[in-house]
Amino acid sequence: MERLRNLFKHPETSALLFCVALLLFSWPVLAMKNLEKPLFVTVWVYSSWALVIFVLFLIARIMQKGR
Amino acid sequence: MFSLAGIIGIILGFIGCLFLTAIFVERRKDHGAGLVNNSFVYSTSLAVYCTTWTFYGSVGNAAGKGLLYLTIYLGPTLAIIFWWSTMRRLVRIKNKYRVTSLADFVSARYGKSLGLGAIVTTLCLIGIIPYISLQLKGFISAFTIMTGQQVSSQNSWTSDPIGPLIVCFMICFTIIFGIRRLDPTERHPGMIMALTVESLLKLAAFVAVGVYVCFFKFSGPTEIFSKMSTVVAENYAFMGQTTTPNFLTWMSYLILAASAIMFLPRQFHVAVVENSDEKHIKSAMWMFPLYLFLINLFVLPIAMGGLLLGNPAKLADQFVLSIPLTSGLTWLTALVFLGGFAAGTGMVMIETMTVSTMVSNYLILPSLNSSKRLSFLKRHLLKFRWISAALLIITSYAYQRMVGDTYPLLAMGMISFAAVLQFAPAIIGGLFWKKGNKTGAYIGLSSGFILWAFTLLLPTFVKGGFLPKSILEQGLFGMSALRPEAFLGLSGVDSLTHAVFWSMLFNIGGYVAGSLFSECSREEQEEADEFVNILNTSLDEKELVIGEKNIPCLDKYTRMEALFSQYFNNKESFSAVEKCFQNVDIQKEGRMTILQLSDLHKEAERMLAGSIGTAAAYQTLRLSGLINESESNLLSKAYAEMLASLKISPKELSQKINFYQERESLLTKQSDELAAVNRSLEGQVESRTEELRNQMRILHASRELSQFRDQLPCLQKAAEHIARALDIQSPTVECWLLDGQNPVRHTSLMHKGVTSSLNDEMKNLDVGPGTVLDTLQAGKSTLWETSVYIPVIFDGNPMACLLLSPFNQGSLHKDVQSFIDTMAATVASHVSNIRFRVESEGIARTEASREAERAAIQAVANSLLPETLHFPGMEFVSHFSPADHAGGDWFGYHYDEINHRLYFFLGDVTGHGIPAALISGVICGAIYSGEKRADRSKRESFESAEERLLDMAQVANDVIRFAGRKEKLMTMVFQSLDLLTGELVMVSAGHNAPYLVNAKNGLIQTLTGSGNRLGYVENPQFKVRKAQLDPGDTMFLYSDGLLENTGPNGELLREKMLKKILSSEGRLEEIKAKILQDAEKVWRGHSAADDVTFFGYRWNGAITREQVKTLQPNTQVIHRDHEAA
Repeated sequence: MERLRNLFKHPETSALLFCVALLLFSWPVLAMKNLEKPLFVTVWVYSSWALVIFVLFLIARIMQKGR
Repeated sequence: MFSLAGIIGIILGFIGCLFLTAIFVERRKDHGAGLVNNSFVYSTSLAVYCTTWTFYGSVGNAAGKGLLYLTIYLGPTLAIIFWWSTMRRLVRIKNKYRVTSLADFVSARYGKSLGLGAIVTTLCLIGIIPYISLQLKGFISAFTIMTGQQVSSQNSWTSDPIGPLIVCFMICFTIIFGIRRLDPTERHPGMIMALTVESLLKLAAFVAVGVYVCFFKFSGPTEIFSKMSTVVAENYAFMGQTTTPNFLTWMSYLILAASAIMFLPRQFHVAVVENSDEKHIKSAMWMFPLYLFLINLFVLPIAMGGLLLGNPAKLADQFVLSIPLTSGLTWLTALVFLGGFAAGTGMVMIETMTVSTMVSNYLILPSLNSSKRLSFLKRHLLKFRWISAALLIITSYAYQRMVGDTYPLLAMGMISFAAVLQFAPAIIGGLFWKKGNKTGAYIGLSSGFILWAFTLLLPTFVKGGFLPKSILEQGLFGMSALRPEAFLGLSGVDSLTHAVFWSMLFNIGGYVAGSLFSECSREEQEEADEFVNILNTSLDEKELVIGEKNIPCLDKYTRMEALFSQYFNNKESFSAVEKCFQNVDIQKEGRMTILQLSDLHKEAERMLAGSIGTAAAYQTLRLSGLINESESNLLSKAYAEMLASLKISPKELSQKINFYQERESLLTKQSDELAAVNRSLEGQVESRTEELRNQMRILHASRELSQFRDQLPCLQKAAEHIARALDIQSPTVECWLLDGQNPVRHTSLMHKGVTSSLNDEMKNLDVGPGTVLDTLQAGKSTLWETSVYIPVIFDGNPMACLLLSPFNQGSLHKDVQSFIDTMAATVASHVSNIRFRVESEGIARTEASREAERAAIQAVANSLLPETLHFPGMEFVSHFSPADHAGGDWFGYHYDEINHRLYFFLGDVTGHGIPAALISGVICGAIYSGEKRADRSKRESFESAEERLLDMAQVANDVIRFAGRKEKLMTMVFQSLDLLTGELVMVSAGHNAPYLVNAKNGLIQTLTGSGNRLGYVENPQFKVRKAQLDPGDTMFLYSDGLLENTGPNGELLREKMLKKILSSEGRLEEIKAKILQDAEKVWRGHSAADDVTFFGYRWNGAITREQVKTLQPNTQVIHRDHEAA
């Protein structure tokens, strides 16, 4: 927990999370065409989105407990 | 279908509820219970981002362009990741600079430039019009569906009352909820609560529709996705049109949405201006994306479901409302309608309020200030805001009517997004780049605004038919390079990406180049530093209010703990920080004022100084950032305010400071002096008390010491007293007594001394300051290692030295030393008295003995010396005075009546005292005894006087040798005078020669004899001398004391002087008196070393036999003349 807290204190962590989130939000959406796997793409995007939200939630909670 | 009145009733009812809620919250807020100051309300109010565009437009976009609608929400999610850094900065800057809008922020960052504020305001004003138009279009569309009317922008305003009605309604709604008061810096809790209610309502409505479509119209999302391919076009792709570079569009949308969530005026207002606690940002970072996630969860199912239900794709923007309406679900329709209404009104209200505020502050007010004639209008600023808000809504409605039918909701919204994107370089650069300056901002914003207007706004008017299409096809002024959607020949990308690219290129390029190639003022540079370093403070401006507890203690606690942990272990650093907080009475969970922070800083410095020193502690605290730049400035302000509250001029302040400093200095000095006097008095009292105590001890000791008659016990008792006073337990005492110059050591006085000579012990004591001799020479007590050396000196004469040990107190205190010295002086006095007493007693004894001896001698002399002879025809005189130690002089005479001769004897025994006197007595007895026997035998055995004298001398010699054990000698002269003839016979045994004074001529004849001293040899040889006296001649016999005794300076009675006296005329008594008188003049009372004895007689002629016969020898004529002597 302490390591996570120290990790989240650094702004570089936000940049890393941004890059990961951008990758998740763009790929494989950008690689897919038409309706080859619409459900998969939709689930992928929403799942990725939910994952990022969850990580943000964790960051907020950990930082809050740390303080 | 709903009637217009029914819809208005629903709207009024909803607005009434919102208003009541707002009023309730406002009142609760006034009573101190802020319902909106929590992260949930803050996060939910951010959902004002979701407008009718989201509510209606997302479904329409999803139906035609796949997942592209998601970028509008994924972009904010991506931006929110950085919110803890960016939004926190904005919030703190807002608090510090009382920023109320985007224009305020840009203006404050870049030298408080009104021009920049005006540019931002203009850009907002123009850029936001499409967005508000979008909302109005959504309202009108919803009204149309609800009432079943066909409304078109082609209809006149009078024939279509819905649009104007909505416009009026929105104007009133905005004024009532948003700008009914002038002060925009005050947060609007009622409005925020209304937004929250609206956000929850639109989420609930949208989710309800989604659930209805997925699970009531279809068996679930799976069915919808499985049938999806049957309803969408072949070129349908999730990324948009397959004919365009999809990724550019996707990225452009993401970028635009990411910037919009921060730089849209309403988003800036809700997220920044309305923020009450920056901690809410952290919660909003996940709550708001979650809201976006939920509200978009059913977008695609609703869109696909609507298509599968046979609705035309062209009307996909209306699916959310049309599906429940066509399904006959009145309540759901009304809920969705209210949801869409809430989404639109919230956005319009906030957006209009913020833009109207910026317009009034940066466009209207500067204009009024520039003209004195219009300055009176400044009192009506609030009304100007109302007018601005009304004009903005009306303009937006007009814009909607012009291009509303041409552009879908999504496209209209993206135009506004692209407009606010122009703020990004100036704002982001202002937050993170110190070199960004006003010139750069001017260039960047202007160029970006122009490019945005040229590439995005202008085409809308062209496509709306208000400008010639040739502008799009051939370019402005016929220049192909100036084609709005193919600027500088860049084509092949969608118009939005194209606009984003060019506007950002010029915007960023202009901003960077302008900042790099221009210089900013010092004030602007300072502001830039403060903006960039704003996160170094934990305060926001409102919190940076002097006297208010707004500084989070926990942040300072953490910093101090980290600081202390550099020097202490974890436990110690924790304890130190806790102690610091306790000392300044601060709870780490709460907040503190700036002055408390100052106290905490000082306490931390003091605490640290104890471990690393003052200077190091000062440097460490200074570099620690415990008080950051903002707090330091605030502290300066606090001090300045304190001084300002005194309401005095700087000169007076300086004088007062000088006065108070002087007074404080004087008071401090006086206080110090009084304290010093007090300390001195206390010291004196203590010293006197100790002195009295010591005096009492000394008196007590003196009383005891006076009883001693021997110095060693006296010194021992004194040592006991001193040891008791010095608190020496089981003392070992040594005493050095000075016997002349030779000290003698008496060890262990307490245990009855063992003595040894100084020579044996001085080897160990002949060096160093603690030696006996050094101590006696120094004349005061000295501490040497653990021994106290105490000199006993009286009147400058060293007498003794006491050594006491062990004394372990390290040094002799002044009082102790004084006591010891006084005690030593007292002891010295007593020892001196003892010594004096002993000496006096010895002298007394000697004198008594001497007196006794003198008495004995005198007694012997009285018994031996004869009485003064008075004989007819003779004159006699004699004198005897013994010496101080008594001598052995003797004289006598005897009358031989048969031969009429007088015999004279005068002798001097060697030595002094009683033995010599006794020898004289023995000689006297022997001579008289012989003479008496001769008288009885009629002197038959002696033929002549010569024989008799020789016999006497021989007898005397034998007696002396016998009585004096051959150790005593005697000189003596024997004379025999024939009274009838004056014949003198003399025998001398080594005695002074007598003088014969001729009566006729006064000549003196020295009758020198020859013979051994009596007792010298067994058979002495004497030569008889004879002389003939004439009548009147005088014979003078004497002992050596007469001429050998001296005066004080060695003066002698000279023989010449004696003979002169003897030769003088006069009776013998007179001559005797002269002799004694002159002798006294010489001796002057000086003690006589030898007896003084002389005897003289004068023969006045022959005495007849008859005269002799009448005499009774030795009985009648002799008296004790010598007693007088």
